[in-house]
Amino acid sequence: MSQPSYEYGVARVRVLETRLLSRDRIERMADALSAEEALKILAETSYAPLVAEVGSPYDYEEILVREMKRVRRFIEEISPEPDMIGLFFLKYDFHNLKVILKNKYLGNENDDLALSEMGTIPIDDLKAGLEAEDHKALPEFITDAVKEIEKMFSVRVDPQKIDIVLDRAMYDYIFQICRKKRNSFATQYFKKQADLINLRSLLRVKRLGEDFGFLKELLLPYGELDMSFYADAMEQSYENIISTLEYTPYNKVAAEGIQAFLRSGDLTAFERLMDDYLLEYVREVKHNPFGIEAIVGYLLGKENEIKLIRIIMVGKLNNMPAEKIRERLRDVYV
Amino acid sequence: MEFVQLFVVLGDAASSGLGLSLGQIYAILGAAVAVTLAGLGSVFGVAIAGQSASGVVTEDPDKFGQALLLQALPGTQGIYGLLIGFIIMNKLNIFGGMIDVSPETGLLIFVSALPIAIVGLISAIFQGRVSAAAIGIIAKRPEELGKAITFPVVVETYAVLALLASFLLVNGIPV
Repeated sequence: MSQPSYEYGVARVRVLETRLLSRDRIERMADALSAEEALKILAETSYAPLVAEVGSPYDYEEILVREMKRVRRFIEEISPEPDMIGLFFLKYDFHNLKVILKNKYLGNENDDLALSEMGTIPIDDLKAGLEAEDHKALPEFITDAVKEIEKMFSVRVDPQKIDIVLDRAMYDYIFQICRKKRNSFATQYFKKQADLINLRSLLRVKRLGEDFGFLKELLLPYGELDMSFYADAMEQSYENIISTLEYTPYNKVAAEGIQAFLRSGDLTAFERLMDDYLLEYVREVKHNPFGIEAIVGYLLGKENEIKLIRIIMVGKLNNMPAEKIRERLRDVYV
Repeated sequence: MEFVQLFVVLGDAASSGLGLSLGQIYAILGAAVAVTLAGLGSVFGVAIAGQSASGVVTEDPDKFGQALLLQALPGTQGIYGLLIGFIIMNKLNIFGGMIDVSPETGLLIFVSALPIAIVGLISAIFQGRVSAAAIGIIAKRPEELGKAITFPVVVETYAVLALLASFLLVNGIPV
């Protein structure tokens, strides 16, 4: 067999899952007296070689970026269907696209720090492809979206449209591949993601006081919740939206997320609940030894772990008290 | 349909004076089917479980013993098939001047080989899948090897029952 099988990849992931940081260790890091000590605790884990190479707690970001790149290479190596697992890295490509295009149209330069190296297309290739005429080197679904933006912007430059067009293009492509591969797990996963993103758009648009016409442009047409739900929701109170969603899988996200949104006015808590919900969904289905589920679960687990370490290190370097860090961790780690 | 044609061809071969009777050909075919199909099942089974085992050992070489044990479980069907094949060969006294059997007896021997041939083929493939899943258990909890082995062994039960049926049938046919 030229490509490794899911049996092989999933078995490797099962072993590596046991090496993800335990809750216990995360808490010990949060309780550490200094950033150096937190890093020492990290050095007792699978991060040991990276910590030894980097050394200084001020370069923690370097450790995290290298670890994420290692995970990315590992997942690529064990995945028998590169275009399937690639869907889970597309968000980084589209993030890069948005940054590059916004730089181009808004005229900010030197924003390369915001670019992610986790995408399926290397940053340099992406930039070169965007500069070349007709963007031939880029995949077709990206070329089409970029051309659409260029055409739109020849009339009027509206940076918001970049997000809308690119998000739509990304999910169009994702569901095209899901359909082609008939992968029910990935279809379900991205359906749920589309629903949650649509709910987030709903909250945003409601707060802006815009009408359904404005929201309609943002909605991704791939979720379980249909257009009539959003049309109704635009007219209803937040309590009514929560009760409408009570018998959907999103009841917890809606109830807790919308209340936190009303309290604080921002969507951080809602977004955390979105991530938790998807992580929980993958956790439920990752027992399949013959599919992509466990590999995706490992990727999400690793992304989550890196988020936690980042919170701890930022907190420690800014001399934040341990309780405060724990409080912020609780926001991420349920 | 093609299977029926095979018997017609075999019948021709027997009557064309190759020195074998039709009964002998049926019986040998039975032995061959038992060994081949059950063996193929085991090939698929251990291959599926073997990929999982390789994955675990790549990351954690200490689990080699446990992974090998689980990989080997779907290998038993091939042995059962060979056992029935061997009993049939023995019955025909194939190693010391074959005895002649009537076409009816030969056909009976052939049919007797079918339980282990068919059940062996299918159960080994599925057992391989269960073993692959069980290797996922020891990847995370090596101390639970006993529980991990239980699940593939449940599949084994039905291969053993098929072996028993084939064994009793072959033994019960008078030659």
